[in-house]
Amino acid sequence: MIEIKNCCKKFGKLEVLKNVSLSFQKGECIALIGPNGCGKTTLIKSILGMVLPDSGEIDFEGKSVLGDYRYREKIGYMPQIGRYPDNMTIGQIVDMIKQIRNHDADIDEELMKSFELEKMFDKKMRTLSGGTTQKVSAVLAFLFNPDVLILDEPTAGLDPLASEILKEKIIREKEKGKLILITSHLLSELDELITEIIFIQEGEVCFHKKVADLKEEIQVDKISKAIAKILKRKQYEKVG
Amino acid sequence: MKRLVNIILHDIVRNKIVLVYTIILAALSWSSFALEDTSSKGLLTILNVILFTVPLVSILFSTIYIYNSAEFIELLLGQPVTRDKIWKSLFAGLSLSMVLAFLIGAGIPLLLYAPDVTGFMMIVVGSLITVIFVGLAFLSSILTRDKAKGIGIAIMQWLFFALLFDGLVLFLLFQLADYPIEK
Repeated sequence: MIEIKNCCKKFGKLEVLKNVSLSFQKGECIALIGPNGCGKTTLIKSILGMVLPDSGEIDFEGKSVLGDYRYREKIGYMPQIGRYPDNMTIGQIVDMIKQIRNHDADIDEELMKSFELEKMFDKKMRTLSGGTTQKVSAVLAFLFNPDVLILDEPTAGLDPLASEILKEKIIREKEKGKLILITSHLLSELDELITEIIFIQEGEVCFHKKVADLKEEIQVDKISKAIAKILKRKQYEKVG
Repeated sequence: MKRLVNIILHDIVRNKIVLVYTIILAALSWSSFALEDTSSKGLLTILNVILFTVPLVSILFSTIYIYNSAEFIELLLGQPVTRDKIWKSLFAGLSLSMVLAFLIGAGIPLLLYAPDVTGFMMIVVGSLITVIFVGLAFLSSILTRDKAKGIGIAIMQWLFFALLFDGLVLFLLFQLADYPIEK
């Protein structure tokens, strides 16, 4: 569904993406993990067309995303740090996005109800706490029933109850056959969600494996342990 | 694009600064026509307003507005809209609201008190100058990410076009007065 071919991106001298090639299919739930500043968010933003890669190609359903924008109708994006116009209320933001998308058919307000955001519809964005802003981002990402969901650190800043609601929602969407891309540092949270894992380090893809294969290979039952083991092994290789 | 312009226009009107600007322009124009006994003196006062106040308000308000809508732009980028459309709608929304404010504030008294070629010219020139300075505001806000710097650049541009440029032309005019252009 999404195909990334030899993608490179530099910010000044800093090489953020080095020859990244990946492909994502429908029905997968993929975790992008890696240390801070390794290029996860840049990768996501280049899929969305917010960052233009220096070289390489990104295809969405077989068509290049360069110069196109219609494909974004099929993507729901939840940014890591949602920034919203200060003096708009939650209700106004939701209405505005609805107007822009002009998408009347099947609007998915389930998350809005379970987060009880409707009660706070006339609160201004600037008065919201970080967690509530995250909730608004999540609601906006799921609102239009998109085929692809891109969630950048979805559970960071959410209280346990809200993050549980969000996780359940993600699982339900996954079962509908949608492609879900998640970046997260909370490996323990990913266990129930994901089917594939991509590890990025310094702008390069270290590996892209199915979770089941990974667990079998390393002989552990938790993703977090598997990753820790791999990282240790890598360090050994560096020292040796 | 229409929807976007609509949203931006609503946001600007809600801001109320444009309303205040309209009222001040109206007060200045009405009083200058009412105080002077001939309409040509009133026209002169309004000409000064158009030459100094209108560009200053247009460029400053627009620059600050663009900086403040950084979040709005970021939000839109994740949606199915092109960057092109976002910028064009921002430009259209800002210039439309500023031109409307000018037309309501200064245009109506001009039409009533000086319904001739001069009055009409001033309305057209005032609208054009508004649009041009909104455009310059885009330039200054894109040149730098730093808000204070951007507003500084905007003020410098206004200073240059409103005062320095005229001074420069006058200076050259007097300096080169000894060299007649016609032979």
